[in-house]
Amino acid sequence: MGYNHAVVAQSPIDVNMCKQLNILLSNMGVPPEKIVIDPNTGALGYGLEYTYSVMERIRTSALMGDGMLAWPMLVTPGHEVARTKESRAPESDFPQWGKGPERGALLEIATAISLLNAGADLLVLYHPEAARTVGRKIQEMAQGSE
Amino acid sequence: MALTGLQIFKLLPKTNCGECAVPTCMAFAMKLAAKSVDLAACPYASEEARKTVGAASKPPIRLVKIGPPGSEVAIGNETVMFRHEKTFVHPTAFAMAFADDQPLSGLSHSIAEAREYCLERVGEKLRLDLILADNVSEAVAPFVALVRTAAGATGRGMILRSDNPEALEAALQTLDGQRPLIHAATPANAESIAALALQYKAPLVARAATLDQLAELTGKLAGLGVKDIVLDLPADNPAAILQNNTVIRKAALKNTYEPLGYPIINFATGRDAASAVADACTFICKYASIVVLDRMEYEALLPLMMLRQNLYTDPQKPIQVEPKVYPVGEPGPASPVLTTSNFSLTYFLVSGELENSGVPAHLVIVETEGMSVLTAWAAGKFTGSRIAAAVKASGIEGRLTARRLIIPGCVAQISGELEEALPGWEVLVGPAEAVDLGPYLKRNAAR
Repeated sequence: MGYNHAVVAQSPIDVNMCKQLNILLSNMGVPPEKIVIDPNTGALGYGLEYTYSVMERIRTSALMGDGMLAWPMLVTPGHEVARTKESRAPESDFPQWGKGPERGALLEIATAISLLNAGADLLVLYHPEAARTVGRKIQEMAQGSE
Repeated sequence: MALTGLQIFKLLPKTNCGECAVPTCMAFAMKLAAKSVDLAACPYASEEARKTVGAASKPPIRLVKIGPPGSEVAIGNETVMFRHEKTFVHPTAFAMAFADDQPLSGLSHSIAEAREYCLERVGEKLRLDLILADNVSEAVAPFVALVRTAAGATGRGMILRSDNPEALEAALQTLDGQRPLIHAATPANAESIAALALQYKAPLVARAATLDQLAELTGKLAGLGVKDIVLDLPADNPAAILQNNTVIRKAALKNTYEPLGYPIINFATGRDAASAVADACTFICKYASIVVLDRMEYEALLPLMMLRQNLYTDPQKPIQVEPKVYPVGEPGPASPVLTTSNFSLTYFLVSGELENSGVPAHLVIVETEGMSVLTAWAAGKFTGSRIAAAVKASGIEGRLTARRLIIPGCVAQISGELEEALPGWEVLVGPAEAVDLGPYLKRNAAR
């Protein structure tokens, strides 16, 4: 607050804790336009659906008037997917997983796009190919259905 | 429109005879409202009651079955907009497309690959569900040849995509009794294609350019007697598909709008791998019952298989593994013993890290009803006494020279109560994160 920075409010995949943290931050005087929600990202195959559903619940509550959940959401597919075995193991160890280099990017893309559909506003990505594809898709989707 | 318990009660005999195996008509009415019983259980229900309750309990989105018995695929019958409201029910079916304008000999390898593809994950075997034969040539013979080869080689349900009714009919004859999905009936050819669908008892895709035209088309098809319909509203931009899918699902569920009360098919074909994966993910997340793919690269199928598995998990029934002792590597009487919860994800993460560590170990999995370690501890399912009971029941005590039990770092606080419940055992607190297990075990190996 002293240096007028925005703050990421992180909670462990829990709607109630998310709301509680936002209330605490607001009560402390953090301006509303300086808060971003981080629901804690689970990578594809490592808890994605928990993050996905918590995000849908946060967003639908906000849209129905809950002011303490009405903030943009940040997700971290890059960091989470990069930790997974599936993104790093060589094809020789797991032939069913396909080619190594492309695989990491595609797993990150899938995690990112899924969370975009759950309401993600800010996505932190690692793989340049993922960033390119997801950026392009966001542009396409933002242009709308003509 | 769903009926309330009270509305249903007014239609019942109100005699509390109990022959439905429920003590009172009111209780029976509440169960009917919750769809946990069938009105058929009441021998005295009136014709009016049967009609009204029957109409109200018709699923808002039709259940459609595709393919031969043995590899039948069921889609539709979804009841929620968001999985957290209850659960998604029938996982999106993946259809791999093959075109008949390629020499068949060249395709046989890919067709075999499509049949063989199987990804094992978290104890489940994930596969491609359907094969789509595309009549690009618009000729009869190559289409029939492709259909016959693909159906025979894979044994999977087929989707027959063709603009040539003659080719469609020939293919349907070849697959008689195997219930392929016909693509498609349009406003222009509705009557003739509907006739084929009825004759061969095959489900039918309804395809139109706008939502209104689609609703009109399905109304027409229903009037002709076609019940098993799948909706196709083609669009290039994934935003349009997302919007259409959402409008359809909402209309069916929130407004009980029957003309759109059917499952949806989307196409993620004709793109580079990254775009295909990205778009297919949107379709899987947002209401597609069938997603058509045309790329067999394993690295592109992996994320889609994983996403489908994740999204279609019942939020109220986490996947679990059988509680017992799992050997990791080839553990002996002096190997370390670890314990954790029976949530599938926990089990596979922990056992994976143990395998990577190269240190053979015994892994005691405790029955925690699929809850993760901390959740289970908070719910009283992963406590000193419960773990002790699991260890004793497993019989592992007799097979060990050293009785040391390593517990997950997140529940360090139970170490005292666990030692009390397991006399003769030493309880060690392991790392909080599975990824630290390898270094932890190697550090403690000397002991």
